Amino acid sequence: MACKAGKKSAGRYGDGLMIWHPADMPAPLLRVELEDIPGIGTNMARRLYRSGIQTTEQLYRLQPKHMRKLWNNVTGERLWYALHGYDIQAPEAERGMFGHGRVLPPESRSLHGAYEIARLLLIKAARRLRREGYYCAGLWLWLSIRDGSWSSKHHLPVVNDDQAILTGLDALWRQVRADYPGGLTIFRVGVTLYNISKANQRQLDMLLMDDKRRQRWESASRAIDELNARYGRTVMSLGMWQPPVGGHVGGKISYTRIPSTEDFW
Amino acid sequence: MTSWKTQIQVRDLDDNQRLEMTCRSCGHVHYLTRTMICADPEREFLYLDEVERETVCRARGCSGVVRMSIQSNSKTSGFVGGLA
Repeated sequence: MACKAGKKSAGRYGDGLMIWHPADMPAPLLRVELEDIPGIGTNMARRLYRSGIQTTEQLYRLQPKHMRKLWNNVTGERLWYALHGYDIQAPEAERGMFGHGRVLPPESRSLHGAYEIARLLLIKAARRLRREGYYCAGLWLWLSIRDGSWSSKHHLPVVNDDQAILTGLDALWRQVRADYPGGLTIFRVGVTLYNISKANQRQLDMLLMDDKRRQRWESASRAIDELNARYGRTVMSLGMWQPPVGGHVGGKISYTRIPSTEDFW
Repeated sequence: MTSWKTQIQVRDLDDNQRLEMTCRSCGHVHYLTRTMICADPEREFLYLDEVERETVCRARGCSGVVRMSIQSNSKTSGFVGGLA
């Protein structure tokens, strides 16, 4: 928070160098706007306002358990300790999903063009899912369109092969076509595989007798991955492999992950 | 010359740790794991610089010298309540 305050110092874009000495606390902290506190976004701020907390000072005066109650989880209590100078470390985050998104080039903003890029992004996400030994049980598609956004989810049996995942994308894309029969302009597309479980922890669907079929598709996906790894690029994929102009399909530096060379194949 | 590769043995690696081998001639990348290196007995005692020296590029017809890098297994944490 001190660094963040340092970036705004004296009406200029500062260098982020700001030291708050213990003897001076909490005065500099109380000058920070409530919504500038990391961890308090628009929704949380609204919740705090509803509870009569309008300023950082009011938040600072709360009790830890009160903050926990406001947050509805332990994060509130952790934030109390952080605000009061305790060295609280965030717990190790566990992976919850695999996803990719991309702004579409002008020539790919039609339904067909966007689908092709969504397909490539999804194949990339599925490759990462397999590389890290996970299965997924859901697919989320998000589109940025002229009037806002469109999104929908699709349940998958616990799978990690390209065929099953692309079938899920087809189902979602049929939904898009049904919602927009006259077509639409899509500016950005995002795909996410969620509800993930480790290969040795997955729960199979008792009512879905497709294990044999799945195993065959999993073998096919594995063979495709091995071929691509051997040649160091995408030499085989389900469907055409035509990256859009500008490249960068699934191979970007995210906030939480450094991409590996494989992400660019 | 001393580097991290001269100080780490194959047996020090995690089972799922991958080594990225990039060809210095053609840029082809392939990956090695501890299991792949330890296909023969006693290879877990090799130092990583020895592994790097004996590995060649796998692209067809290349067999170039490779540069080894180690992939980080740990993921950076997402932002959690202003504490990350």
